[in-house]
Amino acid sequence: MLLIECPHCGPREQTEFTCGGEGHIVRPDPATATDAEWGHYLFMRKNPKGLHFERWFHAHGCRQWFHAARSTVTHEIFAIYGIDEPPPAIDPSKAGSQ
Amino acid sequence: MAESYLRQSPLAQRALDTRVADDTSAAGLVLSERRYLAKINLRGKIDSAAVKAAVGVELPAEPNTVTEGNNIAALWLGPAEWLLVGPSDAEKGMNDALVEGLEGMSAGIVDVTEGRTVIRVAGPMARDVLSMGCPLDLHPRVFGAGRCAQSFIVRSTVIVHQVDDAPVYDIYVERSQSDYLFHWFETSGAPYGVAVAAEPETSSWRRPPRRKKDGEA
Repeated sequence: MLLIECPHCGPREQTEFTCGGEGHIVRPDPATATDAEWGHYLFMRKNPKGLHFERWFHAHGCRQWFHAARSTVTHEIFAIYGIDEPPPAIDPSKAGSQ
Repeated sequence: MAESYLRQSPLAQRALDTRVADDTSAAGLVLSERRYLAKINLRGKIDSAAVKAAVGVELPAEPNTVTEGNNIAALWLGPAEWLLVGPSDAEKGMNDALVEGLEGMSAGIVDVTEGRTVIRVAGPMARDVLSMGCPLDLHPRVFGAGRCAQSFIVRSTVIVHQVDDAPVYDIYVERSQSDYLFHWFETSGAPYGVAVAAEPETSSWRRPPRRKKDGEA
């Protein structure tokens, strides 16, 4: 069980949240993107061992989205930041990345 | 609003009125239902002063807190979402006052009175029983009187509002889940003794006097 620090509500139990998967995916312009680019945007996701930037949703609380930088190895959460903010600089080796 | 609507509490079949105990001092958990409280969901970029002028309560600035006005309370639900709670039958007046007072603002005003009922949980074991099913940290150093939070209790989505440090909690539960939750409180509190108390009295809400607009006689 993770204790996740909601940017609005403070630390809450993981069961109140829904994970929205990988963050910072940029949607290509559908008018100019090739099928390969569009397919990559729709289906391809990172699956790292170590540092992962992901979206979380406080579904049972304030119903707001935010970003978290989490280690998929240790579950340690290194940063919580706004849904419109760029990913912070974190040394991937600290998160067990290889 | 349909005139022929038969208003009934979702806990009506439990006939709580017939179970009201004369003396609840021996019970570890004291339950009661607060029926038909007026509830208005307010969303948007809203000027707190305009709400104060319209219905008599300021919006809480700090997350997960409650501000009290004259028989009306405002619960923080999200960065741009609040729940205004007044006594029974005040929803029409509150709604009209807000529609008029927030004119020109980008606001959503929705009467959600019938969506939820309120179970009041009191007694010396209230915090312990609540903690059995609720993931919130209810320790007094974190959660005290005047605080509210949205979470769940044994998988029922609820708003928890601590009314008093005694402790007394108001649990806003969706009406379809209220019977289940009430049953859970009764069974979970059974080892400590459960009593049903009379519905807490509420005074009526009055709309604050209107400020005359420029040029109005």
